[in-house]
Amino acid sequence: MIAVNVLVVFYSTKGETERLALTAGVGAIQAHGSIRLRRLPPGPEAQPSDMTAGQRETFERMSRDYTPPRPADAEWADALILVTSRDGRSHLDAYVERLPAVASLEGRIAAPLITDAAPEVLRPIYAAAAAAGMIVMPMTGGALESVEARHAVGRQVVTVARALKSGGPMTG
Amino acid sequence: MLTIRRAGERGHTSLGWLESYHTFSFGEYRDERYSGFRSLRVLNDDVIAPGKGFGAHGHRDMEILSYVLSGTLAHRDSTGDGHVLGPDEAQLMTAGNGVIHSEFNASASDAVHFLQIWIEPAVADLPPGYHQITCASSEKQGKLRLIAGPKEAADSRALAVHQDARIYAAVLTSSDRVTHEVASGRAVWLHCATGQVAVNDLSLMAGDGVAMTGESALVVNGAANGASELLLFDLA
Repeated sequence: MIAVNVLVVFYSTKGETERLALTAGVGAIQAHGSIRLRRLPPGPEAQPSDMTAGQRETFERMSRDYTPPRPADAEWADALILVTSRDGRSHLDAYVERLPAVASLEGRIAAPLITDAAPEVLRPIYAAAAAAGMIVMPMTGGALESVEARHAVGRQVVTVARALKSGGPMTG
Repeated sequence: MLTIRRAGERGHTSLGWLESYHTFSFGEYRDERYSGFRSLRVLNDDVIAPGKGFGAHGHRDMEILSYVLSGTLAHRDSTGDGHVLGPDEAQLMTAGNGVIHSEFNASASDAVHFLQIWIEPAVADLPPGYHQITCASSEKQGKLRLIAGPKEAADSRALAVHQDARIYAAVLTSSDRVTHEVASGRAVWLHCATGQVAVNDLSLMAGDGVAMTGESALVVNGAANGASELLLFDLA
């Protein structure tokens, strides 16, 4: 089986986006992909003092559980799953726009996902990924509410990446 | 035949916050002579600094057991909520067809010392799962207490692994002597976790292991200088 590396990058301050990232990541593992999970550093608007105790605990746990993405992570990846909420989209936009300066992404897959808005909100990220030479897998089917739907996205990303690496059909 | 694996010959990873000794090949440590023993694939002897740990990462098709020797270990995975594991407890995570988890020292002041054990499952693509048991010191004192085994052998007091592997824990003092009968065709790995024990008259110190094949019984004696803790793996 051809090895496929998947980098899951997400922006999360309260945990909802983390859940989508984790579930899509599990889907990638189900399809025998290797994954790395990376959380974008929280922006200045994310103030723990404005959060409930539970939100603050989640925020602090995520700060402990994840490291920010490094250039080597993008170089390692055959595919990137990029996860955000509407509020965090600008942070993910900025990350994708910076990528060509730190890694060669020609022919890699970009699969942007959003938790709480229509896929159209992701268009700037689609454009930035395409400008970097990536193959964009647009989000389809509206909100990814079921665990199985989220797993399916991860599996599909690996299936497509594996097919591209092998030059074979996309069966999985 | 008994084959000793001395503690000082194990692989070693030192990351500042982590001191990890690898009985078998793990990560960047590779030794073809020690790539596993039957279904026992990994036996790591880890000490993690306060508040530090392994961030979120994925696993597939592996039975992952954690056994805490001292301190507390916080675990969180994609199958559910978090858990905290302490001495006299054991946890099993079935990675199955895919799981993501993190493990951190739950204490801000004390190190956690634990064994991480990977058993290759007999079947692939299992549903992921998490289980934890309590195993009081008194249940291990002077006897081999089953902490994990195949479903037909494991009751509610033991973890059910998806493999024909039985894992026992024991705490021995100088007056203790335990015997383990080994069925034909099976093999045993014994890991001396703390202290000192004698296995069929071979002396083992903390971190030492011994592989036993083609023998019908294993006799383990405690040492005079305090209590010792061991794990015994009886493997198909």
